[in-house]
Amino acid sequence: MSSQRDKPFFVGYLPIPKQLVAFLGVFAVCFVAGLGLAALALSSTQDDPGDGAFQWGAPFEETGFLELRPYPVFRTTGAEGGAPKTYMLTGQGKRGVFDQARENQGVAVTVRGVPVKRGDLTMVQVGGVTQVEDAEGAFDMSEPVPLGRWRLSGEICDGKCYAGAMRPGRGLAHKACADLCITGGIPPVFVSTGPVAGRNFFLMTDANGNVMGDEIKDLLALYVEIEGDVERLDDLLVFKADMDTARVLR
Amino acid sequence: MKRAHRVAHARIWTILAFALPLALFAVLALRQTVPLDRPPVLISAPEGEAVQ
Amino acid sequence: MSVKYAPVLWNRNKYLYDAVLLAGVIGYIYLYTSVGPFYQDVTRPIDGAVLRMRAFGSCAFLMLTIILCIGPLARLDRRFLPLLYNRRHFGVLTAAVAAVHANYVLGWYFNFSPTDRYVALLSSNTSYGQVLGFPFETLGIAALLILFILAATSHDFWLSFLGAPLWKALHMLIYPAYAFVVLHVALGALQGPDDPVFTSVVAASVLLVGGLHFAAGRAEMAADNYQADASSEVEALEQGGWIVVCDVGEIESNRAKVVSVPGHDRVAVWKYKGKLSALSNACAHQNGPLGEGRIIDGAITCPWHGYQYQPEDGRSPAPFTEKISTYRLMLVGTTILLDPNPQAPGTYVEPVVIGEAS
Repeated sequence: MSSQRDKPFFVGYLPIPKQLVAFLGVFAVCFVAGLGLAALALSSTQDDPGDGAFQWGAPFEETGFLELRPYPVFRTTGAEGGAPKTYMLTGQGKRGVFDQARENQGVAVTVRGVPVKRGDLTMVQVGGVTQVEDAEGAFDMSEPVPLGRWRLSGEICDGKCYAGAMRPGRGLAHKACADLCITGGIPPVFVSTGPVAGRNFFLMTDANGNVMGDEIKDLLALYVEIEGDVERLDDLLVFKADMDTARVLR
Repeated sequence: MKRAHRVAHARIWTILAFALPLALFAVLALRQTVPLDRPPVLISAPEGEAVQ
Repeated sequence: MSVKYAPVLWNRNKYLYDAVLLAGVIGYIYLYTSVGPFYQDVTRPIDGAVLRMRAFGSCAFLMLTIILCIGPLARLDRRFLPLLYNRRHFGVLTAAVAAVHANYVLGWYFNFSPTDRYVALLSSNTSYGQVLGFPFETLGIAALLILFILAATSHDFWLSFLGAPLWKALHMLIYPAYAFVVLHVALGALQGPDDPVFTSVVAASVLLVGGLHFAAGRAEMAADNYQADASSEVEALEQGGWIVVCDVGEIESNRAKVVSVPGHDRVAVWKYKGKLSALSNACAHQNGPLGEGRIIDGAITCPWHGYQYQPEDGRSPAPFTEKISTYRLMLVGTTILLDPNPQAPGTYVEPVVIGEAS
């Protein structure tokens, strides 16, 4: 106990003993500096969320047809004789555009909105849909081209956040958000580790081409392996995932 | 004899001091990495044509 | 020591404590959200909301780590005791920082949806049956609720209202809260792309907090197992239930010797002004280790928050009203003996005069 004799004794409401002032001063400096260093180390090493973003500077306005395949898509002949294009669609926030697509099936419409773009994945956030009165008849829409049955590895994302509505917009920390988006009607997108016909992104449907149900909930945001038929719809690939073959990768 | 809260304290930390690092490292060991070694595999080509 | 409850009884040391605390937290958030991004290697900036939720979340985690280290550090090295003095302000600020983190999560991942954000928080991810993909948000909510409860009951009013044992038990919920937070981070943030820095920080936190508590626990056990050498002269008294404390020379003036009494609380035997008195080792305030305190101006002073007691009767000097148990002592030769049966708190016990024995 004799070692305690010279030890300073701190009482909260009395001045700090002289011997403790230096110790506590050093501790205070270490505390503030340590937290500062930790902040810089943690903040500066954040992972790159990629180049996905809303293209606010390049608003979308094109004329074409809305279809349900089974998620709402917008099909155009392509600008000035270019190749036909098929766009995935989303509403404002975490909402899909099933209602607008149903109301305007079979008629030419002009869709206005904001593209959300990440590499060659483009999703259009629909702002307005107006029917075109003097449309020059129906476009000649192609039917899907089958590309065979594939086994794909990758992640099921919600198409909007992954495209860049959120940065980062994938991964397990984002799982609940992806669930909320897909439940709200935003198409699920399969992000493959490698390309099929030059594309890494697939609009996902179930094996029969219907809207995905609760069966993907537990697999969202995980790296999974799934088999299914792949089809090409203009420039968009559709993955008809056979969820019975799905397994989580180790 | 220790007071009740000190007994509880000792028990909680005897468990936590071992269980918490174990749980943390177990969860970290399960962490998935991008399966770049698994490219898409064509299982059956569509009728009458080969892809790629 | 209080006769009435003010929101906070401020003094200079508390101001200093809180100033350092705030400087640390504000500096952390500023550097994380405003300076760190300049050094990020990103194609496009990370969303502001995501960056802020990471800043506040990691800050709360580090704060909780430090809070949990203060207790065992103070037991292993008494120079850390001043950090314990105002730890409750540290805790309240941690709860606030964690709440800001949660608010950014609610306002980002669970916003912009037709579903109410609180409903979405609980209903969107329900994969409770799996480890990867587990709704780690739930663990964060549990920890945050605990932090809220502890912050709300941190005031001495609640300590007095609930009583020290219940209050202590309630505030031990901080340990499960820490476990929840570690799992919340491990199943959420650490499952993202490889992040060696944050992974190391979390691993270091777990090893440090666990290791320090384990070491402090071992030190406590060693103290409990201490046995004084019994001399033949006092064996008869020992058989009568008296306990050998130590030789009178082993206690320094104005200090105490702490004795572990089988079946009872620890007892502190004090030496002062050539006299000996024995009192409970547990402070009436928060069960602080009184025997590690000192006698200042004739009063036993707790090392945690400075609560004071008169050595003869275990009562706080007027106008304060705290009382602790007292014990009877006997001096045989130079050996101090203790009757382990406590007197009612505040009972006067005539001090043993050491006389020439010392």
